[in-house]
Amino acid sequence: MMKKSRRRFLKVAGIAAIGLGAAPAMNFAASDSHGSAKAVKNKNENVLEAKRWGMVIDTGKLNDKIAKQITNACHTQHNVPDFTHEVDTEKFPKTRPVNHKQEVKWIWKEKFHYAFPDKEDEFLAEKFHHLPFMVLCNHCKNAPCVQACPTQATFSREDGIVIMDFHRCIGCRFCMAACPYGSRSFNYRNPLPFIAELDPDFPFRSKGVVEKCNLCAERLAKGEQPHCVEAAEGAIVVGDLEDPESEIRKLLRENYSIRRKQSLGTEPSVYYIV
Amino acid sequence: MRANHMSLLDEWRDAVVRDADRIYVAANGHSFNMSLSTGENSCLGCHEDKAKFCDSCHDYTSVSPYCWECHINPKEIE
Repeated sequence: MMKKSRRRFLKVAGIAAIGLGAAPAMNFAASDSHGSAKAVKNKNENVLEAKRWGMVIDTGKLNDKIAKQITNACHTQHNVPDFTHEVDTEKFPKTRPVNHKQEVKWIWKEKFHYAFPDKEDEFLAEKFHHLPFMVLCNHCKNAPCVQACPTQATFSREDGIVIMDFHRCIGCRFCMAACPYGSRSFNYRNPLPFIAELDPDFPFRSKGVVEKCNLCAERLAKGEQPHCVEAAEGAIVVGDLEDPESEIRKLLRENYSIRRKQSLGTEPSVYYIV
Repeated sequence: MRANHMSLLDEWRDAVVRDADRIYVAANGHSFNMSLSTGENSCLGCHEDKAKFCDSCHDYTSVSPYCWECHINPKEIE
């Protein structure tokens, strides 16, 4: 009999102890719940959203001046190093000489036969030899870089943007080998001495990290158009590829367009009107 | 905050980079810009002095996180 009552006492005492322990936590939860209840993470009110982001580049509207403008706008505001920039030797005394094969670029001018090697015909229309084709990350639907990345630093966002989490990049460069467009650059060295003026609105990168175009995800989140679109004087348009009413779908309906290395099946989201 | 800010930063980073959610509305209704150093409601947007807000504790506990190898303290740009 004695044994049984002891067991009972312990049971009751145990439950009471749990109750006492949980009381402060419950109070805390209760005090949280008045007002706006739980903390939430939201998007900005004027965010630009799409089911699948895409880009249309009207090459006819581009010239060398605008091409330069576009690259400049993108690179200065994303703190992309420019290896032609003269290094301030007082601030960075131990800077090694530059190897130009190690350049870093997000969007740049390319010749037709490099951008579209599979479309180079023997007697190609003359104008194609001179047109500046702006090339950048194609934000592929079946992105090979995403499949190659061992740390998921590169991933496809739900809205189709192929984007990087620089924090996770271990610099293995599998993605660079996987990308058929050469859209990715590796930071072989600290980029800081080669950035003329730091833009505080975007971080720079450290040595040992791969980087590429992010379709200005940080600007779309604020409801602003990407830097290249603003600098392109109407030659570049971004929008929703899945929305038949969007401006870029209208452009694609009305014009003949090509994509880079379409036969590889990566489904690029960047279209060129030629 | 002192004990757990690293988990908060980790969670915020994933929210911003992966889910594109950039605004944090806390339980008490205040909203914050989930960013270390860009914009008014970011970490350094309110706690303007990095030396006091970050470095003093990090120095004391002898930890050297590499946030500022890429992120920019707007006050430090000449």
